[in-house]
Amino acid sequence: MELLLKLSRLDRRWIFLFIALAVTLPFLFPVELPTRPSSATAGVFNAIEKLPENSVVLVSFDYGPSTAVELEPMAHATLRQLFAKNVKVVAVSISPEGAFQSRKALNGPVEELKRKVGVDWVNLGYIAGADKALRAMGSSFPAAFARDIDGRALNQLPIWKRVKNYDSFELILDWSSGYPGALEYIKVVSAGYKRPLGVGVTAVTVPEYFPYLNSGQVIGMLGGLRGAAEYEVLVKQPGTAAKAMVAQNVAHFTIAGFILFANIVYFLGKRR
Amino acid sequence: MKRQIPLLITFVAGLVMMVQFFIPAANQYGDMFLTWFNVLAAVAYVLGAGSLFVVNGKVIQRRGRDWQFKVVLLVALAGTLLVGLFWRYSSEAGLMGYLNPSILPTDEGTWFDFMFQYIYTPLSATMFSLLAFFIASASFRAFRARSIESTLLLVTAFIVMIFRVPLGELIWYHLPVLGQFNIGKLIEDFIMNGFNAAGQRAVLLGASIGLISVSLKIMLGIERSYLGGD
Amino acid sequence: MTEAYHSLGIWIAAFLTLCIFSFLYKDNPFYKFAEHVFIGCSAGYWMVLGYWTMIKPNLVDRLLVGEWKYLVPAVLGVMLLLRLVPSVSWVSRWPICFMVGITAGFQIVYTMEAQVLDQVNATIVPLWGNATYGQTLANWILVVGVLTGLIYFYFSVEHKGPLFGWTSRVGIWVLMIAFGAAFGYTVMARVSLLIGRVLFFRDDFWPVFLHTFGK
Repeated sequence: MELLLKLSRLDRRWIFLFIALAVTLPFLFPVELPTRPSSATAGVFNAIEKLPENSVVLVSFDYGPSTAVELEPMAHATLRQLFAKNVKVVAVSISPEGAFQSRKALNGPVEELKRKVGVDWVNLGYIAGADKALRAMGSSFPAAFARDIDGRALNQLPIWKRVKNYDSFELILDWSSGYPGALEYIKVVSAGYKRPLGVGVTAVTVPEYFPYLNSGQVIGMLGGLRGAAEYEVLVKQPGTAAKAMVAQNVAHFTIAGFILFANIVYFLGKRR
Repeated sequence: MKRQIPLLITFVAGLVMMVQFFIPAANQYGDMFLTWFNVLAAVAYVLGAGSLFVVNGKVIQRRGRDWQFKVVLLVALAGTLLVGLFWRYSSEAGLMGYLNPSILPTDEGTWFDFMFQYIYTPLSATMFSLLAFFIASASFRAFRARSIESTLLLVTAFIVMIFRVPLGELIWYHLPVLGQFNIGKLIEDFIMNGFNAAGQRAVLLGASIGLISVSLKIMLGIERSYLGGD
Repeated sequence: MTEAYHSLGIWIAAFLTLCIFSFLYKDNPFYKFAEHVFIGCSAGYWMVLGYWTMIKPNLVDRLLVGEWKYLVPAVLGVMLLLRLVPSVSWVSRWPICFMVGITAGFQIVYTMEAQVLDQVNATIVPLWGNATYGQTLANWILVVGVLTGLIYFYFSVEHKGPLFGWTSRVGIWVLMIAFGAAFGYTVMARVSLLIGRVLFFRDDFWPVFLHTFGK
């Protein structure tokens, strides 16, 4: 019992070491386990699957480098699915960091599936103002944007002829890690303009967005690295997220084990 | 004068923003005000940087605690401003960047892009990743089932942590009797879409109504704490 | 970016990452150095972005083509900066009030629509006659959970007796389950962030390390 009590007061640096090992070692001995997609994830997948060829989708990149590990795999998987279905993609960001991330996210799928800028996709870059910017876009996209992120005049691009306002898009997707992001899209685009909206969010904000999923204000939600892994299963293209889940397994069990151990010692101590 | 005019500005600005939803003719004023807002938001960043210079400059001047690191901070700030505002050289455009106004110091291949990719990004990501260690340590030290409420919290957290990863699901499906049920669906339907959605919705409704009432109080001049003293 | 710049950048990124991680052992000058670099770069980054995305297109460019109504935000901006001068800092109230008023007016409408009316609407669900018993149970949990949770937050009446006492107790249980789910997902998020850094060392740094030392 004395030993257990001593262990329950372990120096936190030992805990840090255990966590570091729990996250690092699984990559040396990777064992991939099946991931079952949830209905929240399937909501986004099914919405994209139902899109007719040549329809236009707005994809908003509203995350920064610190959360790219969770959101970039989602972005990759959905962009591959969209491009494979010959859906046109208009990319935008209402978060300044998102514009930088959008280039990284688009590069891979665009090159793999050989999609042409200006014809199959365009990246509008960052627009300032958060929810106010969304409102400006809702009034008129041509009034809100003159050039794309690389300085090309938009009125010269074939894809731009189809973009007027939110009604031009069959579906709107937002990858968001905080403010500004998914909540602004829900308030303005989903509630205000009544357009179908799918979101991908970091795991920490997943519980907060369930009321919106439950109310139908979002048609689907990808939650964190788990959501990205589920999506990779649905599109049958395992990527970064599926591989990273191996470390997630061990880390979760390690933390749960610590909490369980501490509580067992607590109850044993109480009985004494 | 020092308080009456600011309160009037708050009221008029808020009224225009509300009215534009109901009267389309007011849209142009709403859009104009929003553009002005964006400019002021950007100026607030300048104010923030200015404050950093002033506060840290004072620490350096009087050789306060860790003053050497304040020098590092100001050098990093000044360096970022220099490359971000003036340094138009990039690996693609070369020195032509200085002659072509459409090439910005923030484009791909510039030194600002280098700073973003190799300094800001790893620092930002690593700062946040420290939280994984602290959450493990904090929950080991403090998370105890001392009451019904904390037990409910702990049990739910446990279920979500264990059974929302593939290894936990695999273990579940090998359990006798329980293994026949889809644990992912049970968690999603009853915990996340049930109790969690209900609890989060209650918090959301309360917070939203509070936000609306505070916004109205601000617009009507009842709430004036944002004006500061004097 | 050329390969040399990329390699240099990866080495810098790895060094800064290890500096931050060194804090886990104890506070030290390397961590303080990296922390202060982060604060400086972060402030500079947001200012640079603010200039190129907001001030230049919405103010500088418009004034240069003669749209003189944009002198108003220019003047307001200067007034905001006067906050740094203690003797005239009261002048900054005007732009602050303008921003506060805009935000207040904007939020009232959108919050009411998306976060009150739509959410209340989604809570009005049938409590019997659903297709499955599971759906009925889920609807009961939702309705009872929202109502008891709201009663818990109503502090104008003492939480005693069968009406407010018991219902607020149930409310806090519902909230605790919600917070437990939030904690579980928070752990998932934080671990994911750490996984990101491990992947950086495996996929970005390790190849550069081998390349640098001639393999």
